Amino acid sequence: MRALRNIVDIFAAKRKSNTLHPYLAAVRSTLTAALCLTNFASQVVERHNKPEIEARSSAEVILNPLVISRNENEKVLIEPSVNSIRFSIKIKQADEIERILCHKFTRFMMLRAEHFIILRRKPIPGYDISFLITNFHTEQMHKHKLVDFIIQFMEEVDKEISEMKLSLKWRARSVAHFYLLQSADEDYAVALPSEAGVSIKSFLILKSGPYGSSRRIVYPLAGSQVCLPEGL
Amino acid sequence: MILLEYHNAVVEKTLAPIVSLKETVLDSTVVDFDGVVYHISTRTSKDVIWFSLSWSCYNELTKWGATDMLRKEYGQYLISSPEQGYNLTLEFDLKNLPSTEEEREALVKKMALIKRNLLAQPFEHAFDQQAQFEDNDQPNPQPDLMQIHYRDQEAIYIQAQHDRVTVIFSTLFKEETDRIVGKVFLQEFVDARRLPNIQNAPQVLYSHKEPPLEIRHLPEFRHLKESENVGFVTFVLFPRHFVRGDVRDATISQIQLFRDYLHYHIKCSKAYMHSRMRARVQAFLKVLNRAKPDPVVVEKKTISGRNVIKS
Repeated sequence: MRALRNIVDIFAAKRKSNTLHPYLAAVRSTLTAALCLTNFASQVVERHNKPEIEARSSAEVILNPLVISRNENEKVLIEPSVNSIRFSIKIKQADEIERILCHKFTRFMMLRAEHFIILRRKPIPGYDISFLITNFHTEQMHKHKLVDFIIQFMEEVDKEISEMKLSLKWRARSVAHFYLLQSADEDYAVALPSEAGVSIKSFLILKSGPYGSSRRIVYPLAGSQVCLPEGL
Repeated sequence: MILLEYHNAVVEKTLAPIVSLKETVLDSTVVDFDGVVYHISTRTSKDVIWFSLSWSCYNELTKWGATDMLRKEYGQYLISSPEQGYNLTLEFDLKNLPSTEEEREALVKKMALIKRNLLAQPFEHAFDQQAQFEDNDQPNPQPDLMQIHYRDQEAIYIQAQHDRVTVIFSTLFKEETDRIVGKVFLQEFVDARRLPNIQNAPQVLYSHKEPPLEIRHLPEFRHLKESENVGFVTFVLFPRHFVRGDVRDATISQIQLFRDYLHYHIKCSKAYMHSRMRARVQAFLKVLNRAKPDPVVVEKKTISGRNVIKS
């Protein structure tokens, strides 16, 4: 059984990029170990039961924080305590667009924090999004599935941001293309790929007039002079 | 719909009584791009329609021939003292309109294009001045740098040069997100000309915060603050883009709408991203809810063995 599990792991590792898998594996095992929470009432104030990692009322119940980093732009911070852990993610932001997309996306999620029970309304400084898991959450929910959720979130948030960036670029390109195409004032012809240069059987004429562009196929008369624009 | 229309569809619809010659009571205020406000009303009687327009840059446009255009195109309807608060007013007497329906339709269409026609005048003026440079018989003119402040804080600058006409837009991005998305779009406008099929299109240049050389000397840019998100987009039009006739009209119409087109698509991409995020957040919520154990359903029985039926 264990051998089979190893094979599955190896295949999974091959599918993902070679640094992402160990990174996520490290986060998964650390998080599972850290999610060892117990009900613990405040030692300072009677009848208070607050997440110690936020309240910080007594130092002895706070454990050592831990940073797992893939590179300087992608890392997680796990801050455990006796009855709660705080888990913060720094998401990769290579350029201005990714920065703004990441900011919008995490903000969008944090505005809905009451639905995502474990989400913190504000991230820890230096990170983009933070989760706060208390012993009450682990009592209500399956621990391994909570970990699954966080790992899946980490996997998909990168994917989502790069997809949004691609779609933005694609849109920008087609918008610019359409606008400028209507001002390209001449017809231009694209030879259909059949023995171009020897005898051109048909053309795809892209008519770009003042009112948009249209396509039609024309067949030149025998012996007519055909000029193709440069680059075709 | 990728491209925007040049005419105002609401004006066209509101002025339908002109085509049908039906008497109605009208009083509506219609807005257009760039802060243009139209007021369409029936003042004195049901068969006299007033059409008024107000635009912040109207006085600048009259400097470059807007009055002549109005007199030529809309002359018989123009009244000398415009409605209060508006720049110009046209009066349509239903008893005194062209007789055929086609002519009246054409008139309404022309009304829907009035903003385009007004803003077209500085362009026409620049194209004429450029033509003088081409003409060897005439002395070279001193080209005017036409400034049209068509929105607050945004303007178009048009200048003829000896072989081209430059049109510069200054555009202001109110938000950081808009600025970044706008930069992506404008970069694509600059790069798009590398494609073989649009090499004939006008050249587009883009600079951020730094005004182009043609307008750098203007006093309004002397104190341009670092923090202001101003972008400058320059279109370089060559004589082949303003051959008299359809080509010229189409070029003018398109270039006027550039700023609206750009901002419209920035808004559209933001809306698209928003709906996408909404869907993604829903998916994440589903994953999180999977972590909650299913509630245990126990069939409750009474002591005699019957099921408890909840009413």
